[in-house]
Amino acid sequence: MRSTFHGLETSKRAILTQHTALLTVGHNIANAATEGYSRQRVNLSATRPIEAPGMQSSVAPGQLGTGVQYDSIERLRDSYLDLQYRRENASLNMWLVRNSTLDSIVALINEPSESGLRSVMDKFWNSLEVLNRDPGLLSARIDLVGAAVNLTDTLNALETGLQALESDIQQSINRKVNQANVLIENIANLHTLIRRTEAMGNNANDFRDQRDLLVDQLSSIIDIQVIETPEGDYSIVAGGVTVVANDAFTPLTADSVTTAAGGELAGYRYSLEEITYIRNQLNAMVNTLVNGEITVRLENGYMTSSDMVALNEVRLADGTIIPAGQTIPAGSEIVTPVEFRVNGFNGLHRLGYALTDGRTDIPFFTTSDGSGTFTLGNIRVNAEIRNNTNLVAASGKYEIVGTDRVAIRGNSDIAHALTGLRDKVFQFPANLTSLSSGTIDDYFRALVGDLGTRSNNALRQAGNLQNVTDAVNMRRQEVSGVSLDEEMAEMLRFQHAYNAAARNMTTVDEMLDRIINNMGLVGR
Amino acid sequence: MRVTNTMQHIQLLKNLRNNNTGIIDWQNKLATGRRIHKPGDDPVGVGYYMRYNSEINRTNEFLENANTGLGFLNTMDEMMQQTSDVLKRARVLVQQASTGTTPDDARQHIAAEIQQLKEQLVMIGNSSYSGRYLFNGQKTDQRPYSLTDPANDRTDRGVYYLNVSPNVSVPVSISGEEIFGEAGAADNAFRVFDEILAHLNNNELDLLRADMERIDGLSDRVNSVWAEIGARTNRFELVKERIQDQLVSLKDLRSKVGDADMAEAIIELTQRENVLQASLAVGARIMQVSLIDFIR
Repeated sequence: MRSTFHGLETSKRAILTQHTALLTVGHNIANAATEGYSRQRVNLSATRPIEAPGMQSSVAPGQLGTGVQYDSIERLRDSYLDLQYRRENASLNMWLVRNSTLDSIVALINEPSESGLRSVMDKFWNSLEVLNRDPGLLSARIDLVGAAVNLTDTLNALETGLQALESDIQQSINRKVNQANVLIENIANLHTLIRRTEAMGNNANDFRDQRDLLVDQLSSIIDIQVIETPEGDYSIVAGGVTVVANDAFTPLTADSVTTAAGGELAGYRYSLEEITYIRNQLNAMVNTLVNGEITVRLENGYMTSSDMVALNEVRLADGTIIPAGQTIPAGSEIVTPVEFRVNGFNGLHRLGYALTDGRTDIPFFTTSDGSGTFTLGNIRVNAEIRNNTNLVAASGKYEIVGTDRVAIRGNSDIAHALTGLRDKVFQFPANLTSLSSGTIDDYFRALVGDLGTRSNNALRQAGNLQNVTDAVNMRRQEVSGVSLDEEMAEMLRFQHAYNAAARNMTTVDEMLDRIINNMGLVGR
Repeated sequence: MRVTNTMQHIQLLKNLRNNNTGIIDWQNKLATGRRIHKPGDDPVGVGYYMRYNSEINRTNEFLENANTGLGFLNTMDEMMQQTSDVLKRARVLVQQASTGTTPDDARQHIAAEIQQLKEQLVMIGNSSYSGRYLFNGQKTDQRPYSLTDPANDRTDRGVYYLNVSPNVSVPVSISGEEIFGEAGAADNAFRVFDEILAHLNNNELDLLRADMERIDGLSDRVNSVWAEIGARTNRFELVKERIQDQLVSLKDLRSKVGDADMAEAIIELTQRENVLQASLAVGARIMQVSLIDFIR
């Protein structure tokens, strides 16, 4: 048996429900530009009709509708797209960091340019030619020492630049770990809110949006895996470590850099590897130039100051023939071309005699830390040579004047051999570049080409992943984004429904008015 | 497909980003005229570009070497001319002195001139170029010949080499003993002059006639050294020409690898500008329109 006020009740339900739907449309419009917001929908359904089947039910035909109700307000979101987005986003950010580090390295190496290492090396080799042209000329010696100091300064500056890059990265790692920990803590806190809300049977739409946004942000920093069970248990594994388990959380540490497989933290790890790689390559170049074993040939012969062994048969000034591999006594004047095995630039320079006092065995380059291995950071021009350019040992012969040894002033045999080092093929440590043997110039060019390939690769990867991430994001927006046109249409729909329900209520009201106030007044 | 406002935003921003990247790239190429700015622009080309730059720098230095060598050799050439003149004059004088009709006191005058010529030869032997003695091998700071006894002065036999291309060096210096004969030897120019002087003073006509042949021997040696100097000069001149040609072709090669194709750059830039304008216009147009404009 239906109630007298059935119609009023139906309209009231409609008005309230459409009102809710309109409010939700308003909420969507308000959040059209909110990052991470998913559009919400009010799920409407018809209420239970009367009458319910039963022994007591009336015999009136049909079932009478009782109006509308809303069952839930839900957000529209595809968790599979979230998964994809986070995976691609982690890779993207890894490559972005790697690319920006490579950009910094490329800027540091500064090639091709007229101020980079190549041009400084060119000047160094050219100043050796100047010295060879006139070994006694003071300005040639000053020019050579100046070019050499310029070279070591440039190398030292590269090391300083690489170190600055490394310390920047270390700081960024700490900052990113802190940022990730704030995100992790907030995610765990949100879990409590979501749990409580959903225990009451409601959808925690906005809290979930917030949590998803935080997880998105976390995926920029480190690769993550989100596990949510139907029972509502929620956990996040970041870089192989469980960082969120429901409302409990474990902060990341700086060690997470080593386990991260994606995200900015992995990018920083690769960046540090890139820096070490380029430093090793440059160190190998520097050490090979200064120390690398090489065979040199002195066309004019040589005057020994200690017992030596030549690689070929030589004749001395007094006619003695000394076969290859046998000791040539100190003080012998070799008049035929002679070949020696020496250790790089320093080894060759040690053979020479200083201009004024005939000193020999002077290293041209020294290390600042006394180490025998030359690196970008420790290579220096021998301070003695810097202070006294006469110590540049261009001469390969000396004569005894009285008891003093005096280098032959116009002899530039060693300077001539030093200019030849530029074309000598050195052996370089394997596995560092595509080049294991070649000239110093070749090696540097190979190194730069190698760097170019890697920076190109990083740029392309970052570009590709940017496109992929954008595409996934587009798909996400397609599902979850607010379309203002759509909301406008919905708004009209609900507004009309609301208005019609109100009109219906008025009609029912007029109907009741007729019964209550105007019925049974016949002839009055 | 459902299209939302954020999608339009993302799409527009993405397109603008891509267009602007292209524009900044071509703009840079156009503004600098260079195609390669960093190794990543062309990892292979950058190697060539750096190589050509190094080669150009180096070749300029080789050119400087060749010029220095030519300077040395031209001076030496001049000295050989003078030596040859001295020897010619000496031969004329000795011939004059060796005839019996020449009076003894005239021989004394001739002897005085021969002494002058000998001193002239010593001066030639001690000649220098940019402060370095030419004919003392590598002992460029030591005067090779003394005025008192040049016949027994030893000169250094060290050779002064200049590089003219990678792994190619050309000898420049010539030792004094190669020109004037070994110290103390019978055919040493100074010794010959000393003996001519003695023969003149002693009026030994037969010996003077033999001395003429010795002078011819000296001239032969000078001529052969002179020819050697001429050959080296030619070599340096050829090298210099080759280096100059090489510089042109190196610059050409560098330009081919490293320079931007201006026509292409301008066309590409203009194209990208058009696309950018279009995408900006599209963005502005689409974003203005919404259902709100059409419902009251």
